[in-house]
Amino acid sequence: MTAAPAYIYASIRDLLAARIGSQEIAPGTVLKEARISGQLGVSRAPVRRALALLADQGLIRAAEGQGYIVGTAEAPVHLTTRRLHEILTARPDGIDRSAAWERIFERVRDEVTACMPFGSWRIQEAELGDHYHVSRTVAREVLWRLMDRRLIGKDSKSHWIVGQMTARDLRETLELRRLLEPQALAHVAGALDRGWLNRLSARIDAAAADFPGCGPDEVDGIESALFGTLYEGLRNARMLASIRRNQISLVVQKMFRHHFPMIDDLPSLQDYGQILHHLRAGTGEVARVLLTSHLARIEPLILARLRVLSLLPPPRRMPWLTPVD
Amino acid sequence: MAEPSPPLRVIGTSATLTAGLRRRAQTELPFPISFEVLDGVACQRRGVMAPESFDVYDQWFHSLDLLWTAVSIRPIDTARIRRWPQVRIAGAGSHLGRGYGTRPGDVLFVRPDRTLGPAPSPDQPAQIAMLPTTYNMDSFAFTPEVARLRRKDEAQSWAWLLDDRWHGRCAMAQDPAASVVELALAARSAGLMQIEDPGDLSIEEIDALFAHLMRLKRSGHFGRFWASSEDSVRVMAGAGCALGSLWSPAWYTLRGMGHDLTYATPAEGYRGWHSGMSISAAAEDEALDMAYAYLNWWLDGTPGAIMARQGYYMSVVEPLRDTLSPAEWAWWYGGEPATEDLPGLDLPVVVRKGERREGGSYLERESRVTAWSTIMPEHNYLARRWREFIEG
Repeated sequence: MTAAPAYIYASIRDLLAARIGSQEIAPGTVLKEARISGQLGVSRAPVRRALALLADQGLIRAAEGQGYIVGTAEAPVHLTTRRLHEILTARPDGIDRSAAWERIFERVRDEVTACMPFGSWRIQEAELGDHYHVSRTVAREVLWRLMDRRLIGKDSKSHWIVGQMTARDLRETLELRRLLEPQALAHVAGALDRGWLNRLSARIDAAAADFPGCGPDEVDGIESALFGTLYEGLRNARMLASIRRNQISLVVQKMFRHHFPMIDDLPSLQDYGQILHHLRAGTGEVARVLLTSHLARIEPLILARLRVLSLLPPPRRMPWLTPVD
Repeated sequence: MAEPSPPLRVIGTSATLTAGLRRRAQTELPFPISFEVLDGVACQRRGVMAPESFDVYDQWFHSLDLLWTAVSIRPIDTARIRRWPQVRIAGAGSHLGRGYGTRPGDVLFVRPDRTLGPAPSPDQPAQIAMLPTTYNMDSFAFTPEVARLRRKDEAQSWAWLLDDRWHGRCAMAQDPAASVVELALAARSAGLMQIEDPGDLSIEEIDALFAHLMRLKRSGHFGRFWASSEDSVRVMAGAGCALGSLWSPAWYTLRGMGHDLTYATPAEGYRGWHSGMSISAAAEDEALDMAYAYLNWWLDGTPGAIMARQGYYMSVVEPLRDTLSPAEWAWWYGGEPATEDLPGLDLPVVVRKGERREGGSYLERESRVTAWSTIMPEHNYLARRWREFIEG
């Protein structure tokens, strides 16, 4: 899948250009800024910019009075609001309405974590912004959020630093996971959404039955659904934030699976299946015990996998990362 | 006409894949073998990254956990190893202390949950991850000049690696799995720092150790870092070297060339290592059969005699009574004075009549291992500091 453009105006431009290209928006159609922004649920500024760009490309032209007319047709065609709504929202539109930092957060996070086994790195804030075509303010926002997850830090000179991942980081965060996550599970177990539990449970069982044919992406998806969503209902926001900050071991598992055979992940999938089974059956105490023993069992495996990862060639160097001695 | 079968592909280092050994394997086994001799770290990387590029991996027990975790190798069925009942892995004897680092026997057996452990699972035929073959106990060699500078009654010690009496003339190996353990023993014995476990350094201990090492390096204490046994012969034979960490093939080559050197018996004990062979996870059918035949041949006496003449011991000793002369057995294994001049691998005489191997018999030397070569838990962090140290 190609990543969505980082700017919302670009997404709107692409959407309109595609609908014009397929003639769903016919030649002569009058396009107005306010109606499009209303239908897409975005502000008018990016729509205005998108329309101006399409006019520069010659796909539409400014109409006398208000708005734009598609193509070179003389007679203007007015769409009903309902028809415009259908055309713009009939299919997933690929327009990401999230804040600018959100649109690049996951990619930056993945690139930061991918270099962690190989050394320590300094992040150049301005280059990060340039690389993703976002402002320095947005780049900084992303970095603060990575710092909140303890994935990066600041050194004494206030440089953003990605520290090398060590065995100690893994041991210490796993110790905290063993303390926090079973406790969190006790808090949320009674209020978990049945539908979600049933769907995730079926997904895990299917992956285990098809293992390793399910592929590493599916195991990544299961782990992120399980450990990312399970605790979301926690009322104790401090506990939830601490859990988020201590899940670095999941990064090692994910990286390893994408480079080496994942045979040792089957017992983990089976653990997850059992945990979900007990959550669905209302035996949350058993689920807690299973989660605790799972987190203890995987520690030596994760430490060994970190040593193996260090033998990989370092990932492609991003222009916004420089090695630190 | 049937296609000629593809050869058995063996990767390893010059420590075990000597020219003589390769020749004998080619003549004594009924199938072609292609050997690829690599530097230690390169071999380890190949083993982890490209299991489809070899059938047999011949290297150290301390890299076993990397290959096993990366699923590069498959379990070895001990029922297919003829001399399995005779195999004795070094460091397993009850008379020994534990030793720091990777004790080879601790990672020998494959357990039902796919972890490695010191004992077989009782309810299934024993499977192992690596077949134990050669091992040895290493220290360092020093020149007569060092012997003269030594104080009266001063015990031989790893601390000598850091001693400024021979400033600028100390050589170390480039492989951190051996060298960091040695330098940690040295820093502890020299009183530079406290180290709880020289086989498992903490981040703080690594930082403190490398602060000392970088200071010594900047002052010019370390002369050279050698990459292979052949390289170490050149380094130690040079006039600029007074003392250096050294493996036994290089030691006997230097002796055979007439260099006057002493192999140390450090008061703290030796650094031990164990070699072994693993079978690629990708080996199947005929390649698998050839791999087992090659592993069995290794225990049959011919390789053991070749290894003995460069100072290495074998996990199976019984057939060596036939392939070594009684004088050779008495000197190499028995630790007794040589009753005649003895040949090495490529040199006619590496031991002279009347000499005695430092440290005594193989069991005595083995009982003096204080640490095994190891890839420490903080290997990633350590490896980066090590690169800065040897390249900086």
